[in-house]
Amino acid sequence: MKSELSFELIDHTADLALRFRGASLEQLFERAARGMFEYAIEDLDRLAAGAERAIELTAGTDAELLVDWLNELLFLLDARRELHAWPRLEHVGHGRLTGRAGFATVDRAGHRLRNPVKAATYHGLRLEQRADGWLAEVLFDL
Amino acid sequence: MGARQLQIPLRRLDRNCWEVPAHGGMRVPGRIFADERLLAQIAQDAALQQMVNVAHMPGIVGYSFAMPDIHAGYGFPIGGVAAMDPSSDGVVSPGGVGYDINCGVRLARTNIRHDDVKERIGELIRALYAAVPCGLGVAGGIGRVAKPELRRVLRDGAIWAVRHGLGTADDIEATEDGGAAAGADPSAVSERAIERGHEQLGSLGSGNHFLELQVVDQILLPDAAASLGLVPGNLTVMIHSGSRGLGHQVCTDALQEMGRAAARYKLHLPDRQLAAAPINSPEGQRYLGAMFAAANFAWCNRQVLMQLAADALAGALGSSRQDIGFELVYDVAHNIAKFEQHLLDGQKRLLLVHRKGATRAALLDDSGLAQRFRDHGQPVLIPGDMGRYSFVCAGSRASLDLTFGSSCHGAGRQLSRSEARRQARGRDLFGELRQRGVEVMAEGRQTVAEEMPDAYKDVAQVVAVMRDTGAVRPVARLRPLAVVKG
Repeated sequence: MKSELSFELIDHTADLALRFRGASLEQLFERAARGMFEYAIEDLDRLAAGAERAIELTAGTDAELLVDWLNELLFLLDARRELHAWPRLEHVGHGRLTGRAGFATVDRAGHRLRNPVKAATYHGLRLEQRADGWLAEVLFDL
Repeated sequence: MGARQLQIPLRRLDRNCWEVPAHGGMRVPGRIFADERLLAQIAQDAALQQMVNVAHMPGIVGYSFAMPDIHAGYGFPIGGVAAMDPSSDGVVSPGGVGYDINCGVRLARTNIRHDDVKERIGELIRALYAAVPCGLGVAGGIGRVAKPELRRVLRDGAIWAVRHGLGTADDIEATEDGGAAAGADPSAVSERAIERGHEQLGSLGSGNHFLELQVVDQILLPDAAASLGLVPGNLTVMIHSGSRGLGHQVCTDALQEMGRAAARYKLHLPDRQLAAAPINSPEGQRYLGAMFAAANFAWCNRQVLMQLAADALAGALGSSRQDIGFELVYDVAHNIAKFEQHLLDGQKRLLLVHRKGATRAALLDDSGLAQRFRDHGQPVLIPGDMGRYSFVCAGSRASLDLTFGSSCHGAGRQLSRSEARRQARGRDLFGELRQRGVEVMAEGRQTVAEEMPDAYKDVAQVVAVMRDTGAVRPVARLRPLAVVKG
C-alpha cells in the first residue's frame, strides 16, 4: 500500500474493509472520507472541489457518527453526483459533526467510478484513541 | 475483522449437514449445509460466527441456517436464513435482508439457436451493453421517473412496467410474488431514498451485478426443463440486479432508526449491524413497509432491464421480441424477508423468513405460485461465476422441513476482492475468458478482476449439496457466452 493514500486495505471475503488514521478526530473523519473516495474513484487527483456544502450530523456515538458521515457522502454522490472528497471539519466529537465539504460534480456517465462503494456498515466497526492518534476500521458494502 | 479462526463447536449430522448446538446466548442451534470440502472453505472466514450471532436474535425459531454458498457478510452472513415468530416478540432485521433489498436473478429464454449466431456473439453483447445502463449512480434506461410516479412503482412493482408497455402479463406470472409484494408502503420510503432511486430505474448497478448471454448446454431433468421451455442449444439471458440506491437508502435509514430504538426494546445483540426491531413495533412495521416497497422497485427494475435486453437482442437480429421467443422463465429474490406459513412443531405458523443471499425453494401453500410451476416446483435460479456455468433447479417440498423452503443463491466467494485483484495482476482476464468462449463487456477492469471465475467456488459443488439434501432438483445447466458487468 502506498504511504500517501489515506486508507489501508484489510482483507474481507465479500466486501471491503478499510483502516484510517488521524491525529485528531476531525482529521480522522476527513481522511476516512478522502480514503473511501481514493479507493472508489479513478484519477481522484485530477478532480478538484468546485463548490462546497455545509454539513452537520449527529449520532449516538462517535463511531456511529463515522459510519453515518460516510453514508451521507455516499448518498450525496449517488443521488446528486456530488463527490465530497475535500472536507474541512470544524468539530467532531460527542456524537456531533460540523464542517464544510468541498465537492466536484462527477459526470453523468460515471466513468470515474472504478470501484463503487455502496454503503458503510456498523459491522466490526472500530474507533479508538491510541498514543499516536486515532484509528478506525470500517467495513463497506460493495 | 477479516479472517478469523474461532472455536465453534460443530457436530456432523450427515454427509452434508452440520450443527452448532445452542450455547451462550444462542436461542436456537445453527445448521450448515455443506460437504467437508466446502465446510473447510467456509470455516476460513467469519461466516460461521455470523450464523451464531444470528441465532441470538429475539423470536428466531428452528435454526439459524447457513446455505452451502455461505460467506462472511456484515451482521448476517451471506447465505443465511432465519425465521422469526411475530407472535413471540420476533424481530425484523434490515441486516437480514441486506442493503440491496430484493437483489435477485431473472432468466429469460429465447428460440435463438446458438449455432445460428455463433459468429455474432460479440455483436449481440455490444448491443446489450449499449442498451443496459450499468455502473454506480448511472441513470436508468427509461430516464428519470417523476417522484409521484415512482411512488406508484413502489406500490405496483413489475406490474407498473407491464402497464407501461415494458413486458407482458406472462412476465408477471413468472415473477416471484407476481412482481409486487403485498405490504409495500411507499409512504414509509424516505425522500432521500426516492431521490436516490428516481433516476435509476432500469439500470444494472455495479459490483457482482451482471447481464449474461448464455446457451442451454445440459438438460438434467427433461420434463421440468421442457415445462420451462429450456431447449438445449438455445440462448438464454440472465440478469442479476436489485433495488439500486433506493434499497440502500431504505436499509441505511432503518439501521439508523433501529439503532436509536434498540435500548427501548432492550435488544442486546452481538453486532450493531444486526440492528433490529420487534416485527409489531412502529419501527419494525415502517421498515417492513419500506422494504417491500424497495423490493417492488427491484422487481420493476429487473422487468425494465429485461425488456431493454429483449429489444436490444431482437433489434440486433432485425426481429421482434415475439419472433425471437423471448420469454421470462422465472424471477427470484435472494435478499428479502417474507411472511410465510411454515410448520413448526407440527403446527402451521406465520413466520417472517429472512433470506440474506438465499432463494425461496418452496411454499407450504402453493397458491402463491402460478399453476404452470406447480407440477415441478418453483424454479430456483443459481448463477455461477462468469467463466463456468449457472443452474436452473426446481425447488422441492422437502426444503420446507429442511430450511423453511430455502436454497442457496449462487456459488459464493472463495477469494476476497483484494486477493482476487492480487491474483489477477499481470493476467489478461478478458483474453482468458475469450479463450473459454466468454466475451466480457465491463465498465471497469477492476470489477472483472474481483469477479473473475477463480474468485468463486464451483457452483456445481454447491448445487450438488443442495441436491443431495433434497432441497432442489437440478433441471438444466447454462453456459455463459458473453457477460455485461456493472
